[in-house]
Amino acid sequence: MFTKLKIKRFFATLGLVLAAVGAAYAQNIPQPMSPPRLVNDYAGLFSGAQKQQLEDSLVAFDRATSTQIAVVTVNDLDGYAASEYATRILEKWGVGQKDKDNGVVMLLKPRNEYGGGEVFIAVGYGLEGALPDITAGRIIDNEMMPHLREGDYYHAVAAGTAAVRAAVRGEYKASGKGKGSDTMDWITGLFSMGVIIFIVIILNKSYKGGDDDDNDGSGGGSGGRRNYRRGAVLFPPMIGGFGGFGGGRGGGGGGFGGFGGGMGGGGGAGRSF
Amino acid sequence: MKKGVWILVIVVVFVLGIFFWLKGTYNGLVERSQAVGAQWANVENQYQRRADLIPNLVNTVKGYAAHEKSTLEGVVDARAKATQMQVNFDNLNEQTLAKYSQAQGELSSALNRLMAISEAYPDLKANQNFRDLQTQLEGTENRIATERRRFNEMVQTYNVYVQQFPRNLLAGMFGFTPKSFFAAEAGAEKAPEVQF
Repeated sequence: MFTKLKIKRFFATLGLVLAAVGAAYAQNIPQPMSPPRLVNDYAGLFSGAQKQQLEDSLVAFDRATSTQIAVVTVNDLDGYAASEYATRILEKWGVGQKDKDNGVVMLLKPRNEYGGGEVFIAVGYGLEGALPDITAGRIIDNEMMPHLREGDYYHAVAAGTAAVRAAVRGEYKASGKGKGSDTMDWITGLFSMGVIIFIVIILNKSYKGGDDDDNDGSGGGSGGRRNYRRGAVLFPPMIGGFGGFGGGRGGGGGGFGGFGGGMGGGGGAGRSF
Repeated sequence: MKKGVWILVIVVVFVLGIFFWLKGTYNGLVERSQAVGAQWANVENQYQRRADLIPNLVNTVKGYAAHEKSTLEGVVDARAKATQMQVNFDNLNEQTLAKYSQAQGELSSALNRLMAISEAYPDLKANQNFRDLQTQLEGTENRIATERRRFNEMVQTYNVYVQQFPRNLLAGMFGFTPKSFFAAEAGAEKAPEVQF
């Protein structure tokens, strides 16, 4: 009884310590939302449909070009400058691919009780050529500010991300990584098909064998039926398994696969509004 | 005879163990020390990038506010001083870093003054070239802040590595001493005072 209590207390303390360590490590920069997504709307500025629309366009762009544009909205910058906050998110979340550093973080802090509005586009090392500070600044000035001044955050972000996509399009192509996993899918597919064919052949053989064994007896009919039933029972799960494989492929292409470990060095531009 | 073989084996294992420990530790020290050096180069690059922006900026401002002579000259002088100041990685220490920081800090405050007076010239503020330069300058300041932070983080990692037992014995033998942090620029944090 006493030891049980002790153990419980130990685990409670351990949990507290771990939580404290985690909090200290986080340094006020939020963790990416789970499951990973490109639109991290902590401030709740977008409706569900708007979020989905933004997410879909950004995920499609990620899949086509491997360039990751993360939209982050927060209510409070916790005393950081918007530039530093956005750069730290880019670095900590690893937006973009590791070998290309082709990530962009669009940080938006709405005008609220914590202070004025801030917007910052942080650009990963690999995109500083396609999206230099001046371009980022002009995107904010020309595409985003008119909407931001009216408090229309969704259209500001939609126009801003569209302009960023236009600027960085063609800088990177989707890496071989995607293609590689495609080939892997094919190999897996061929392999599972082979296994299925193999099992079917084995089953066929055993079915025939059973039939042969019971050929001369009066129980032949029943024996054959039993074997047939066994085959019939075994078949549907296999077909189901194959169908599941197809579904898996489709599912793999459906959502955002996660951040790739990109880095940035503080490039980009921001404005207050 | 057999005893002699055993002793030999033990000695060889011991020597090999020492050798691999030395090798691992020494190479670890070199690696981390070089990483700090590479990061220092990144810091200097960003300061250089800022210095490269300045002539263009000064010329643009001159076109609209030529009579703000003292402020403009202040920037040019501070830039000249700051670019003269180069710190080689081999003599990165508290004094050289403080000097470097001081020179860059003076340039920062001169730049701040320049940007502050430009507020008084609506034509200048509306000029696209000036706005672009302003954006670039802000971007560069942010890059400087980022690379400085990383430099300090790397120095921190290196210092912990150097000072841990028993590595500190070896580090002392080969002259791997803890490195200095890059403190905030003197005077850079203060908002400039502007008198019209």
